Amino acid sequence: MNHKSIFIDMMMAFFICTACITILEGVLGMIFFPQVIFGYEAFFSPPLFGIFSVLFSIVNYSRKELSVRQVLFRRFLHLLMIEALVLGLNYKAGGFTDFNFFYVLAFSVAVVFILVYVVMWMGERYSAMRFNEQLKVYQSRQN
Amino acid sequence: MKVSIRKITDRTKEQVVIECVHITPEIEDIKAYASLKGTELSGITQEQLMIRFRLEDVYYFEALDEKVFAYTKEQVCQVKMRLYEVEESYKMYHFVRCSKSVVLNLMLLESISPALNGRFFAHMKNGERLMISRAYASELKRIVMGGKKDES
Repeated sequence: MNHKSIFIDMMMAFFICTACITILEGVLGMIFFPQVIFGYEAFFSPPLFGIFSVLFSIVNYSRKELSVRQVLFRRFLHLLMIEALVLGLNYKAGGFTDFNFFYVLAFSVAVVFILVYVVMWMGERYSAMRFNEQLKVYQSRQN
Repeated sequence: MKVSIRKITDRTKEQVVIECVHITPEIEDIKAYASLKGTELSGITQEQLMIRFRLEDVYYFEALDEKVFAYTKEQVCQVKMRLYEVEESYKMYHFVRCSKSVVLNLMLLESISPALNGRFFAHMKNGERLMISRAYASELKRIVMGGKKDES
């Protein structure tokens, strides 16, 4: 795996993450804090969380080929790091006046996390489909 | 292109002669195809029998415990080659490395599908499923898709 493909993966994860976080913040904000008004600086929050989430994904990379169990363990570790960051920052900011919000936020982070991987997997599926089409052409050309 | 066939009696003297002005990719393809059809390998089966089989019938080569095995539809044979030698020698016959221990035959690859962590599964025409590592996936795509861009 070369640096270019790692970078492309990270950029894809960042953009998908940022889009999902923006929607999540909007929905949770409307439900739990409809009265709160933010300034322009609030626009930086989704990309910042996106950057940190992607940086934490470094735990997924290994020089060796990982087994399925190892991959799943590292993904879980990745999720824990993101949960710790998001919940920690919200705790610091005094966001946990309502316990329901804590659970909803933790659950939503997990949903976004899974969604990002699902979207990336769909991208790989599309790539595999294109490969399969070209494979038939390649094989018929050689026969 | 004009094609002519001349019948001979001696099987050992069978050959394909290509007469061309320039060696184009098409000519290279014809050369690879003709060479592949005649290429036979010898290997030792699990019953310790020495047999000969055609290279084009090999689905993949796998390195296990310092030994290299060729997998055809009917049997598994140990061949006296290192995996890197297989990769180098049979590159022109559409054999491509797909992981640290496997070189597969692209002509007998049915399809690929995504696996975890950016890896892919290779579904062979005999129903077997092999793993394509991230490190080799891009090279595999480059060979099959030619110059077409595919960043994933």
